[in-house]
Amino acid sequence: MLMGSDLRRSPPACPYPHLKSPAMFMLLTAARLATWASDFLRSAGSTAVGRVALLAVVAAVANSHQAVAEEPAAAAVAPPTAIATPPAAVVEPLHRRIDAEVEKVAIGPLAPTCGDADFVRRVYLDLTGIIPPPEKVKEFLADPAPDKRTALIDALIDSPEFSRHFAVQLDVLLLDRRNEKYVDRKVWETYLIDAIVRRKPLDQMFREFIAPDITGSDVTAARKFLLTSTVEPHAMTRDVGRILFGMDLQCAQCHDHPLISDYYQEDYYGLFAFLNRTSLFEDPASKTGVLAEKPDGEAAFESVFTGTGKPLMQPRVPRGATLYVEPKLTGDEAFKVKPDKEHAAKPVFSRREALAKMLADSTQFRRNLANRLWSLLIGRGLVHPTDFHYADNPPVNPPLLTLLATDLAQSGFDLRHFVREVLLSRTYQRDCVAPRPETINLADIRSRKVSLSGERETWLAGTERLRGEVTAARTAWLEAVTTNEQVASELAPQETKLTEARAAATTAETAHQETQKALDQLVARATPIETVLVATKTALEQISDEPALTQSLAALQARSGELATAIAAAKTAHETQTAMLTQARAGVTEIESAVLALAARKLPPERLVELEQTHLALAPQLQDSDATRRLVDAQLALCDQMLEYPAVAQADALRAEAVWQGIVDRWSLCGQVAPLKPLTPEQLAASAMRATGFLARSEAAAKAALEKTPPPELADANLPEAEKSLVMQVALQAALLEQLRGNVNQFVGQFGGLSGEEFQATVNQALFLGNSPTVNQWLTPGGDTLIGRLKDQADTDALADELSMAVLSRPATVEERADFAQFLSPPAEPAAAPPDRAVALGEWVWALITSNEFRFNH
Amino acid sequence: MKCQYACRSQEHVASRRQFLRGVASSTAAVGAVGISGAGLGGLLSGNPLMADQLKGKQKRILTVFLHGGVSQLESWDPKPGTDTGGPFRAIPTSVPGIHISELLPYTAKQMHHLSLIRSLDTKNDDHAKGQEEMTTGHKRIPGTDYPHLGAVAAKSLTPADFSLPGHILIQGAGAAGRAAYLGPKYNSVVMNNGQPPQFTERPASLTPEADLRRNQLRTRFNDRFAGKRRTADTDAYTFSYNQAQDLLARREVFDLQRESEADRQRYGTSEFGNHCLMARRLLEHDVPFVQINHSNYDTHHENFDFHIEQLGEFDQPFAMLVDDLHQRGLLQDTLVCVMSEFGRTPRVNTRYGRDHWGKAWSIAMGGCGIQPGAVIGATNANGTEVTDRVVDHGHVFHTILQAVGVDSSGEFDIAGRKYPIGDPAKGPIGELLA
Repeated sequence: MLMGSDLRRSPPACPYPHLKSPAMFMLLTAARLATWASDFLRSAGSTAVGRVALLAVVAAVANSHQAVAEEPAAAAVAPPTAIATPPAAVVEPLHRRIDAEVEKVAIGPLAPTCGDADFVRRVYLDLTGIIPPPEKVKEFLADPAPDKRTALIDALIDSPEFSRHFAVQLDVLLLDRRNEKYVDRKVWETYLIDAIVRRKPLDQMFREFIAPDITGSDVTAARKFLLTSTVEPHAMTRDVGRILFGMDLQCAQCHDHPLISDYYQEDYYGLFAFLNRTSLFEDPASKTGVLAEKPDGEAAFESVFTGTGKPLMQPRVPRGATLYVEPKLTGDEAFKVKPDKEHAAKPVFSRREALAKMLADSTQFRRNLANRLWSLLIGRGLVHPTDFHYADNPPVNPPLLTLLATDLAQSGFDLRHFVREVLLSRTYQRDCVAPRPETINLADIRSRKVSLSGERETWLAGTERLRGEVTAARTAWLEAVTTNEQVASELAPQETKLTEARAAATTAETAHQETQKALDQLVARATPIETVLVATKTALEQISDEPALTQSLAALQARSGELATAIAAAKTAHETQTAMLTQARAGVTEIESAVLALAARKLPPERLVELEQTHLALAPQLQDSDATRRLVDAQLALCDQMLEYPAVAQADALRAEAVWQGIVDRWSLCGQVAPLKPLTPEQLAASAMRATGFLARSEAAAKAALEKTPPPELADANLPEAEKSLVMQVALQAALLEQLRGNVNQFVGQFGGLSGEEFQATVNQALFLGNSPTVNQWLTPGGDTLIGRLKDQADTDALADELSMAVLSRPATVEERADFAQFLSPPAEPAAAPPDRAVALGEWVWALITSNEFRFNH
Repeated sequence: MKCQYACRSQEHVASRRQFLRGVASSTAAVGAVGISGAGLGGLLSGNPLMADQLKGKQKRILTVFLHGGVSQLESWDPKPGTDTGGPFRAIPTSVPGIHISELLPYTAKQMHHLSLIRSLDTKNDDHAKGQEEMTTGHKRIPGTDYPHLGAVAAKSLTPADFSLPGHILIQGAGAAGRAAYLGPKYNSVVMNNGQPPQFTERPASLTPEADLRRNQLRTRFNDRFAGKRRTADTDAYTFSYNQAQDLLARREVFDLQRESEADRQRYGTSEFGNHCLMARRLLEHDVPFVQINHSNYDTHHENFDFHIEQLGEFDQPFAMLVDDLHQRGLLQDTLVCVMSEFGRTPRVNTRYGRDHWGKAWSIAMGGCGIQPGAVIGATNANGTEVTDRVVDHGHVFHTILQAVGVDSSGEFDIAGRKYPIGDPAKGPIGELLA
């Protein structure tokens, strides 16, 4: 049940509402409860948790860029000697360390480095999104320089095409090919290309996605990310959790995640609390979508299973720091801009901005980002699916992910550095042809199995030890949080009482003063009467027969008696009031000391931060240690498959084929052989266009469009030349995307292309490539097209090479040349032959474009 | 890339079968990945038999979507003589006791093949949302896409070696049927204006001979590449071209001219009539899911005139289609459902129109797995409230799928993520299932 501040927003319907019964919950969470209970018992005997440096959250919010601490590597936790990282590895460049991590856990042979032709095609696709121009292939193949691969990677990474390609990749990753109406696609694409051209650090880009309205003045295009989530707090929570932290927390909205043991409802509402004050505001003048944010509104939740929850959930980064300290502002002082019909609300303190500033320090953000970049380059995340980082879905190589995440942060979130290092690695440059079964040294595998079994025990023990420490740290932290929550809940009624007691004391004080005053007035009246009475008595002693005096005395005595009675009554009343006042004051003092005593039990926020950081520092170590144990299990299984294979191959060819596929798939996952990566719709469309010579037309059209309407920035005469050139680069790439959009959309319609999507080959794709006018037009001869250019080439071998070079980025093989010559020669039955050479070339090129070799990046 | 062979999904079964055929015919390629092809031919002989078994049992779904929101009072749940009933009478049908609007005289004669659900409360009066919720069976969540019924049906019902599209939408008014996380393979294939689906005709410049030649070249290139690396993905891609060739060879399926002159006359010249005949043709060829869209029932003005016109167009061809499916023995394996995004207000507005109304409305269903001649639920005397057996899009979705033998309470496992097929909070309308 949603208990958030804004009850007008109902939560999205749960796809599993039938689980909302306590019985089902108990069933689902029985295992989890058992684990925690045993952890808790074990923790009683664990060693004291080491203290870690205090990372003040306040400071983290104030300074977004902090020195990046080395993340604890799994190997440093419980190092079995066989796979401990040598200390020298730290100074090695990243690509060597990647290879060290991959090769350390490899089982069986590694595929050799791929050939130059595969390499040039692969890096062009991965760095520019398009197959290489044939002349570049020829140039590269002919280049004798030993460092030509590094040179090519460097050249392409510095090219404007790199920025365009990664802008497209980021676009798909961030928006999932969804539309929204406020930020124009071209503006958004230009923003992304510009950011990459200018080497904007990735963490800064993500800060802009979260807080585009606050971080700077020129990043309105970055709003598109949250606008695509409709600026609805639950939708934003899901997308931010998924895309920025690799944790799809949607199912933890109404209860702890029913299927994933370490996604908690607190994680969901911790993130939600950063976002639930934000809403969509449509600017009435410009009709653009603007992010509005209120300065108040708390997140609260209650599990539909257990009824437990939190009446006030503080903002917390998933698997990260809590925002324990916020400025307390009320009323008008909390607004930077007060909302009205024309203006969106802006708070002085923005929680969304706080989240943006906490990103770079989040271990989970770094791991997710590293995993997603790896996935873009290698075709699959180390954690897969990339939206689901959790204990039972560990990275395929845990130390490698930790290494990549740490390095990414240390490099200042430098996209080019990351990409360059991955591409320089042997792992990336491996051939996609798997080693043959007979190259497996079975004796090696057998002994490896023995050592792995030993490692497994070490990791198990290390994991158990860490689990105890993490549980202790988590318990200590949660206890502190609970203490403060309890204090807060007890404090509230005491504070009410104190206010009441103080009010009562004030009332008593007033009443006391009034009785005093009444008494004083009576005494003041009685005193002169007493004086006169005494004087009258004295006078009567001298003249005892004076009737006036006698009468006066009688009157005075009567009056004096009356007054004495009144004074006595007033004194009694005053004494009662004095007692009441004393009592009221004592009451105040008592409650005051109770409040003080309670407040003394409350831990300062610094202490909570400290305890939380201790837990946060340990938790990834446990994650990695446990994941590494699972990796060892997978390695052992692979050993078994390899040992089993020869006998199976003898006995059962069909099963042997399945076993072998299993081995090669696992090698592919672990980086021992290069995977086949299907081209994205964008890569496929642009590559087919380049192959057939049609990309040049789009490029020319983009240039022409730019000449016709140059970017407005260029109108500034004072713009430095270097800046002009940058602006032109960005504008040209954005214009090219515009030119390609029609064709790309056709390919997207057929080929899908969401990030992390399952590969699908469909009849419609085949029909589209076979029969669509667009594709068939690419196969027709025109002055500048591939077929137009080559149709008059007489030498069939050279022609076969040219065609192969243009489409497959390699020369034709001897067999292919022979096939080609035969294909062109007049056959026995003339009807079976293509009517003319241009048509024949079109058929040949179509077959190349629709081949597996073209469809996949190999 | 993936752990392909652990997965029993259709595309992988398909590609695997193809793979094995390849093994039998091309030992050279097989040798290159280190496997002997000896003796595999024998293993394949069982497959055609299995295909024959499947053929007899192929289940299909036909939905007729009346866009804009058909009036339940002028169709399935008339209330003549009440303050909301409008001018039309209710007429008896072929099922004693069931009366429907006099605007559906032909359909009334087929009532014994159909059943009515008169108790939908979908709590929604928005066109896009209603269309989405009725066709996906899930409540809309901002930023989340659920697959269309057609995509779910295509994924669940299409046999591995079926080469025609599994999800066809005749006349693509409104949103096309999106496959969402099921992937582009299950997006709707649209047939507009009597044309065959896009790209199912070779361009004029491409002769069948030329297409054959270039596909032979492609096969040769793929065989060579398979010597380098072969995965379930490469096999699936190769197989998709074979399926495309099969489809092109059978593209007369999309050609209405192949139907007899008598039938074409019988169904008439109206667009909807043609669409019904096309649907019959597609279903006869075992296409698992066909949806016909019929527009437009959004009758805020002149509700009664419009319904005379629209239902007049709908009634006869639809009734004929149901009867034909029955006559040809197809109805027992074909579920037919007439739905809308919502119904229309009982209150007649000042423009003689009825407005959007999701609170108490009706749909019709029949055929495969459905109890014929039943009426589920009821509304009160003047149709302003459901008085019995409230159901919504979630229940309807489960019912349709379970009627054709799909376990809608199960999950799809897509790239490692699990998605419930139907809304887990809902279930089928049990008493409607045969």
